[in-house]
Amino acid sequence: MKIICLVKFVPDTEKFVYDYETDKIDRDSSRLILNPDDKNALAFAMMRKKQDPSTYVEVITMGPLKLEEAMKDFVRLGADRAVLISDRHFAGSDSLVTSRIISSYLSSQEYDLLLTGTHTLDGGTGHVGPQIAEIMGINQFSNIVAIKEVTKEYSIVEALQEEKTYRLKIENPSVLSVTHQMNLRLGFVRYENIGRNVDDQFEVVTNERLQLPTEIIGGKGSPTKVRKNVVVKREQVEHKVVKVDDEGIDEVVHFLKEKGYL
Amino acid sequence: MFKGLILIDNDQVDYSLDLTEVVHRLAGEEETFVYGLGINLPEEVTGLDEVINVEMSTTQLKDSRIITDIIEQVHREYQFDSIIILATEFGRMVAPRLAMRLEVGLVADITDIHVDKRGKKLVRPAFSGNIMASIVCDSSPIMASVHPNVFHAADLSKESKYTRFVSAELKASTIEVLEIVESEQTVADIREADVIVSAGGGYTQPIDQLQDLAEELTGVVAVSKQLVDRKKASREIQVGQSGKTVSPDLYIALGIYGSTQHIEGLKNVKEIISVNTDLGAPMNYLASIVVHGDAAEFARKLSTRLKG
Repeated sequence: MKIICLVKFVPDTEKFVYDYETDKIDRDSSRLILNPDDKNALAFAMMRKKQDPSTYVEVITMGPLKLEEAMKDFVRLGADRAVLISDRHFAGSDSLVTSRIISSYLSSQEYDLLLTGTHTLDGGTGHVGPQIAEIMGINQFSNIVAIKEVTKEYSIVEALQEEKTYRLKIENPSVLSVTHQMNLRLGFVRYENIGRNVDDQFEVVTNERLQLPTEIIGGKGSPTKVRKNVVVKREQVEHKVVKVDDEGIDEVVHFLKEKGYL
Repeated sequence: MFKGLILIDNDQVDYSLDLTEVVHRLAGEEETFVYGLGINLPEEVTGLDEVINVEMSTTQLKDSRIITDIIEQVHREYQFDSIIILATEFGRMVAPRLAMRLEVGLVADITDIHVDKRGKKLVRPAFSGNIMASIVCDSSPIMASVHPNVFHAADLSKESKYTRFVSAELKASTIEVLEIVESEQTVADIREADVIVSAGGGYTQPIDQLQDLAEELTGVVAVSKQLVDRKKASREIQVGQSGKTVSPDLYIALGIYGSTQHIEGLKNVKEIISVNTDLGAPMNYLASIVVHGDAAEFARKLSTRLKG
């Protein structure tokens, strides 16, 4: 069976460099990492391939060309193929257009299962998984915490929604959006594979290949447009600063009493 | 006339009805007509101009494709100017699918709306720091998803008119619900709490230890995203953009840095006490009292004092 994993690279929010002067995050020193939910999607596919070597695993991302090495590393880790969808005409695409671009590539492919993540670390919209499923006319389910069984015909999964766990049988092909609660590890590229030439298993897909009219892609083709970005300047509230000592606790207790919380 | 549709979530009817406020705000000066789409609605609802009720087989309720089919059919008949969906886990599956079906833009997790002569701007916290993005949609209907508890309906006393909508034949669902297991632990809903003791990345002790302090203050325990990511707590009690939006009177932030995404989860909080080893943490800017020091030590000392 063939599994295609859709992954996204996001800035590492734990390693943000925050500039207090400008109230901005220093983008240059923030590096891109594989989104944790997506990592679990890929890790599941790799695990499945280990159990059944006839499984074919392809990884797709859309983003800047600098992701080439990171994508090739997925092949060095054991994926059969890695595809980087990248073109300057794609820049500025919103989620609807991003879904159209990726689907345009997917429609030329055969697959039994599309695996991706539910949430993104960067507070993205989470729209792309469901929207690709809509274009491809297939099922989709989010918040999947366990994949119990996968065949060409169906998947049996457990999904967590609003504090309930749903055990579901979903007809394939489908988009399964997993979360990092799957708790899978991707591992590292083995020493002998570091830097291995995998050019024949890697491809950059540009718009020359997809041939999408430029007026329906990128910022121009996107129905949602960012008009203005406003840096949030938080008004500093007048406050007391105390320490974690008897005096500080006194101060806090006094405050709680005064405001009626005690 | 600005016609808005809100999708009513049967498990969160009150939060769904709050979305009427979103429609009113989006309409600006225009007169509004707010429709609510109920699918197997379990109760009578008020506050809407018209409830469109659809009855369907309960086995298909968790199939976002079928729900999308229904909303699409209703929209083709009514031609709404706007469709607003509650950003529950299921709502987040339906909204993007519907937007793609209707080929329109969708703005996720909006927190504010500005309408003027130049257009209808939907505001959402964007990534890359302390930035709020104002977004316009040049497609119709305007679609947005909204977290529960972000907007509040001013008046829901109006009697709603009821209309039954009979959908055209739907495709059979190919998602079968084999079993539903309710989570064993039912914790208090942090959105309802007046006092919240909340722990972040800087709180190094097990979360259970905060239960005493929360009880002393008749409050509940919550956490930031970092602790959920580190599997120290469940998403159910997470405050912030990817968690819940809370409005307590008192918020005690224990070792919470205060990223934009976290602060977006705080609405109408009266007082904040922020405990942090980093005096420059953005959370401190919002606090009435800043306690400079270790969050776990503070919690332990305060709890001991309150018990004594």
